[in-house]
Amino acid sequence: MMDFRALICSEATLDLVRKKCRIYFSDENDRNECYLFILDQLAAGNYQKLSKYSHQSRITTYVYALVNNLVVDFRRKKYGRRRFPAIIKRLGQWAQAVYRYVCWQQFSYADAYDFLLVDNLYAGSWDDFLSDIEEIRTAPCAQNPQFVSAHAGEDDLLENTRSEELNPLDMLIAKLDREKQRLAVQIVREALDTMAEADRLLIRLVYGSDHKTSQAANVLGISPQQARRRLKTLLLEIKENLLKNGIGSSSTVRLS
Amino acid sequence: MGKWMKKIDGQAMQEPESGSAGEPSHIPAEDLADMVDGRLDSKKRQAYITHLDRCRHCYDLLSRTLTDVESVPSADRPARGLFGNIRTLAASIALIVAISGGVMFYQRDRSQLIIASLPVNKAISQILLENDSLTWKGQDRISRFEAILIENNIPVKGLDEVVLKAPYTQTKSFFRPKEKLNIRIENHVAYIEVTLE
Repeated sequence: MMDFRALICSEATLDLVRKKCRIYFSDENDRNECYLFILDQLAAGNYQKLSKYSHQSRITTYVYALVNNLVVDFRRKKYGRRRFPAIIKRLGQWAQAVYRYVCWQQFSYADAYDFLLVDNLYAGSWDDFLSDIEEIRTAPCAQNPQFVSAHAGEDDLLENTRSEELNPLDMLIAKLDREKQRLAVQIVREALDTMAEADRLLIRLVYGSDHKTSQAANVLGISPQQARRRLKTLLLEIKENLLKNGIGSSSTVRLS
Repeated sequence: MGKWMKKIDGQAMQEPESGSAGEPSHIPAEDLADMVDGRLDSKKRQAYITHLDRCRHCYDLLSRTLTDVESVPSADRPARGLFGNIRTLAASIALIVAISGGVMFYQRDRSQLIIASLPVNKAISQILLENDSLTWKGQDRISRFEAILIENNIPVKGLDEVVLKAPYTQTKSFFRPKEKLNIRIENHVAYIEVTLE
């Protein structure tokens, strides 16, 4: 019989809960409330949630899953469903897109700028953009601690994604001019839409969320070798679609 | 990190935070954990792959949990592939033996974190009082300690070390309070401490 009280009180669990609340909330009071909420929920009903542990996964994985779930529950309880602040709504569609990218999806402002250009939501220069987002930065954002401290750590937030960490598709898109980027994004989306669900999940996990192929393989119930082979085939298909539309060449799309 | 793929993915699944109508509600945390560790049966897995394709909420939880798991050093993770399957098979055989012969065997790769507590009985008290050392390295003493744990239904095997948090001294009082041995086993090391119940 597992001692759930000891599990909750263990340093590892307390550190995990503290870390999660720190990552997902910027305000110190929110962080403390989140911490207490999660511990309270884990212990509620005589450890009802923990006692559902299946004994198939590792207990640590189960605790991670539970805590992640509870952070989201706390956010919803505290702030309700995600909504644009009034100031963002007033600024219009481009500001909503910036807010969604930076606050909700945790992209940098530089990435948001690139996306706006590709989405045809903004036509100004980078300097114009920096001045136009001043108002956006005053809006509250409970989800992204960096968002509200943008003025303090400007370099981090304004920095673009480093190219050496890019996956093959991102490397290809990053090299294109705006027009071709727009087209490439559309083609990749269409290619994803026509894939089988498991294939789409594999691409999303490995390229959309930067997980290891071996971890994605676990989720899909296949071996890492099978996952790597599948990924290579899917990339080849996307590459062919891009080539048909005049994007990329064998030298620019490396699949390994 | 791939920002363009993230963007494409984000656009495809922006709005809904719950499953579509008619679908089961979100993936339970216990199944999500099984899925992350590759322990889910294929029927459920297929259903959840379909669900994950539509549900941003569950995909985010899966992704966050995967990130947490990936941050753990690989040596602490369960075995995969052929050897993982062999271990699972070995554990199944051992379970059959355990059921038929009363022998208890524990699958080593699931023994990463065990937390339990036991009332201090005579056997526990004796082994604690054997000497003053806080770190037990003698295999004989460790094996006898393992045997005590197994007798008390704590499935442990392959302990390398036992670490006692504080020296144990027996209370010699007729009215002595009940004592409890708190045990935390991680990476084949048992950390133990005696407290009052």
